[in-house]
Formats: sequence, C-alpha cells, structure tokens
Amino acid sequence: MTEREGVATVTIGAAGRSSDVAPAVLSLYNAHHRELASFIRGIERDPAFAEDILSETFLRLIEEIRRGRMPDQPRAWLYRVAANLVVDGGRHRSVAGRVLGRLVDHRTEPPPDDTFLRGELRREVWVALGTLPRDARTALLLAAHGFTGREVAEALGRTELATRSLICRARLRLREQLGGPEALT
Amino acid sequence: MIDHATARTSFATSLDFDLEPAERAALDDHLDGCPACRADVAAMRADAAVLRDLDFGPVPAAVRANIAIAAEGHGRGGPLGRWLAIGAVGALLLAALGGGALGVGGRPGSTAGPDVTAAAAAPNQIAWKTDVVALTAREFSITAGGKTFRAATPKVQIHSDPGDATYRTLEATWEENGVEMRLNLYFGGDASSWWVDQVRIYNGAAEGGWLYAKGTFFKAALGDAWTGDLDVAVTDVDGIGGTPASIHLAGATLQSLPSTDANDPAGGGIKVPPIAPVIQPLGSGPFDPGGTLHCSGILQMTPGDAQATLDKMGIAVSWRYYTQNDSFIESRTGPPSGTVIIADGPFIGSNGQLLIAIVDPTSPLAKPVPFPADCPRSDPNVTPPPPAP
Repeated sequence: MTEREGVATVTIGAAGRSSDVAPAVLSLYNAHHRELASFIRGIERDPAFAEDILSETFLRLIEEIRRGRMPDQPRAWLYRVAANLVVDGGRHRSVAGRVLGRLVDHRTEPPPDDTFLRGELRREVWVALGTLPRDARTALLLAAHGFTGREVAEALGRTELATRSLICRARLRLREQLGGPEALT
Repeated sequence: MIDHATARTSFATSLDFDLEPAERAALDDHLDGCPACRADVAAMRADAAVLRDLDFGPVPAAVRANIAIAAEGHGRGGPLGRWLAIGAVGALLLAALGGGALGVGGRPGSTAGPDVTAAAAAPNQIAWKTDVVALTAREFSITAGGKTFRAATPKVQIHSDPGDATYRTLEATWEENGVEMRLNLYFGGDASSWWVDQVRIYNGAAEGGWLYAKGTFFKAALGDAWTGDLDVAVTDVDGIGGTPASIHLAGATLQSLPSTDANDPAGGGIKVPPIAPVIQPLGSGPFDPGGTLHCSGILQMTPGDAQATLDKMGIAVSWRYYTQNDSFIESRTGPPSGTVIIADGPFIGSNGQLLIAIVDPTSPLAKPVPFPADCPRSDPNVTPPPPAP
C-alpha cells in the first residue's frame, strides 16, 4: 500500500486553509477516484449507489480537511471511509433518495455486461463476488487493492483473527463459485 | 501431513496473513505432493489477480463536478445529482465557449477573436498554454516578499486542471530568486461570460504559502479572449507574510479554450419559457402536466425529429447520451443516429436549454416514453387506422 500512497503528492497548508481544500481534494480525486470507484462497484452492484458512495467519500474528505485534519495516508483513508460506507450500504441508500430527477428507476438493472468488465473470467469473478456477503466482498477487494490483512482488519473495525477468518472463507467461497477445487483424491 | 481442506484454508489465509512456520511448512509439504491442490492454489492466485484488475471504466464527470463544487466551499454539496452537476458543467463549458464584456482593468474583448495587436508589437515575456487555457503577456511580474519575479526561466511548469469547468485552472510554477513561485488562476463563468474569480501567488518565502486576490478578473464574453493590462494586489489572508504583493500584466491575452472533456453546444438557443431556470422541482418541467411541451409529442419522436421540432420552436436542446449501460453520460450537441429518447428528465440546463436523455436502442434503459394520457389528442407518432372504406 505504501508504494501506491505515492501516487498522489498533496500538500496542504496548516490547519487546512479553506482555499487549499479544493486543489488538495481534486488532486486526490484525480489520483484515486477510478480505482476507488472500481473498488466500490465491486461491492455495491448498483452503479448509482456506488456513485453516491464515491461522492460521499470525497465529501467526507473535504470535511476532514476543513477541520485541519489532512489524512497522513489519504489513499488508505479514502478506502477506509468508502469501505465503511459500502458495508453499511443500507443506511446510505437513503442518499439516493435525494438524487434529483430520477424519473426512471434503473437502479434495479445492474449492468450484466459492463463494457469495462472485459473478458469472461473477469465477468465470472464479478458475478461470483456478488454471491458473497458484503463484508466479505469488501475484505477481498481491500486485499486486492493492496491492503494487508492487518490493514483490512483496521479498515473494517474487526479483530485480526476475525478478519483472517473472513477473508479466508471469502477466498474459498469465491473459488467454489468459480468452479470449486480440482477433484481431490 | 495435512489434508486437502486444511491445505486450501492455509493457502487462502497465506495470501493476506503470515502463516506460522510450522503451518507454512505443512502447506508446502502438502502442495509438493498434491497436484490437485497446486492447481487450486493457482486458481486462487488467479482469482486474486482478477479482483485486482476489476475496472468499471470512467466515472461520470458529474461526480467530479459535484465534489469540486463542494470543495470550493459552495456548501457541503451532497448528492446534487447528475443533472444538477452536469448543468453546472454545461454552464461553465458554455462560459468557456461563447461571447463579449469588459475585462476588469483591461480592454474590451473582441467578438471577432483575440486582439493580439498589442502582444504582436513586442515579444511576449510569457506565453503559457495548456489544453484548456492560454496566457500571453508582453510584461509580466509578481512582487512578493520584497522580491520581483518575472518567470524569466524556461523551466516554468504549466498545468491546467481542465475540471468540468467548475474548476478550470491555469497553474504555473517556477524557481526564481532562490524560492519557488506559483501563480494560479481559477476560472468561473455563467451563461454569457467567463472570468477568473481567484488569483493566487506564492508569498516569496522559502516555504511558500498562498496569497490571494478574490473577485472578478479578466472578464470577457463567451468565446472571447480577454486582452489588456491588469494589476492585482493580493492579500495575506492566512497571516504568512510576503505582502505587499501584486501581479502585473501588460499587453496580456487570456483565453479559456474549449475543452475536449465534454462538449456542450456552443452558444445560442432560446430559453424555454416559462420554466424556472436550472433545476426546476420535479413535476414542474416543460413536459410535465401543465408544461408548455407536455402534449407536444416530442418525447415520443426520434431524437432527430425531436431536434428538428425543437429547432423550429427556437428551443435549444443538449443531448445527454447514456453509454455503457448508464455508467457514463456524454453531452452531445446532436443526437447520435439510432438513439432513442428515454424518460429520464428532460430537465432544463443552467443556460436554459433542454437536457434530453438518450440511449442506444439495445440499452436496458431503452423504453419508449409513453404519450401523456391526459393530452387532448392522440400520440402523433401512432399511425392512425386507415379510413373506413
């Protein structure tokens, strides 16, 4: 994770001067929004809600910076916040109720053949991922995005032991969904 | 010797956590003698790699616009919605594309294009250009921290955040007088003009900090370059020192160039009467009951026919093309052929144009917009039955 922290070099004045907030936030947005969006979409199947969670994550960053608390490791901070928002998805679904102008409710139509899920294996993995509980999906994807087991545990607010079990079961379950272990003799 | 299930569990754990040496050794022993488990381990590694590579493509520009608005201090923002954000994007893109006003401290811009006469009379001291902004000046200097900075170095780093027009910038950074100097311009705009609403420079100290000038600078009409002379005094809002400080430009031309990130239609169009501008409450749009276009049948037409009809009515329209199964929205001046109108909106953009959503006919969103049942005439697109013989 530390090597990817270097993706965004953001400096901000002491105590989060309000005039420095926008450049700092947008710099971090530019550096991390796409990977963060994919992380969220791996867990939250509905593109509109995923979009709201992405927005909410950066809005919280804005608030944090305005309070003079620029995260030491912004990428990790963004993932932690997004993970918590997405795990607690039900509460934040109320966000979508405030979205203006949605006369057609297409939230129930997740894209089964998203252009960007190129390749059959990726599509299969994405579908299999959807069969896992939300916290298991989150843990797997945090790990996939470079977080260590300990960091996943911290992000999810669980003990390391519980997280170890969670991720292990998730990996095994995912493999089973994708065809299971080879015939074992 | 551990069994298959234990080996699989140990391996799944080992991808994220360190195993105890004894557990590691047992796993390795098992894998050495078990081709099936080795295959399974390889498959789990492949699963992890695929998870790493999942990518769902670009994020709609509206998300960034929303965040930019919130970050600039216009409220927390919240989920403004795609259309509101896109409206803001459209307004500022239009601001970058259209027409004519007096710049503060400068000469009026020319509707025929940038006035480069002054700049041509002498070599420009600076000529900075990015994909979205161009600035030239015959004279340029910054005074800060008791020093004068002229950007007299070829090593000026020029950058723009193209933003979504809610956050277009021109940012210059260079070393001079033994310190780093920066000049940032932040652009704003509305349906008729564009301008710079904030100028920042570094204070000339070894650890540079920002000095600010907020207001309306370089104002010009849509599509025009600003030309003229400008002296801006900046203030030390954060108490970091360096004042008095100012920026001096003479014989300058500043242009906000059209962005390729999104393409709102440039200029023109008659505002749709009598609807409230920008975001009208749901149910009060032009196609809602009581709206001027409610019974027009336009939403039941092909986009091309709808465009022609709206053109005849003098109503500007900007198409919102949902692509990639609604995961991305493109702004189009004309509807791509073969697309169909869907019932997401329409809304009124911030410059008064209609924003009509369209998709490819194969999209799951491609559902015909029903003709309003309360309209006095039938759907104009339904072929009437043949007359009785």
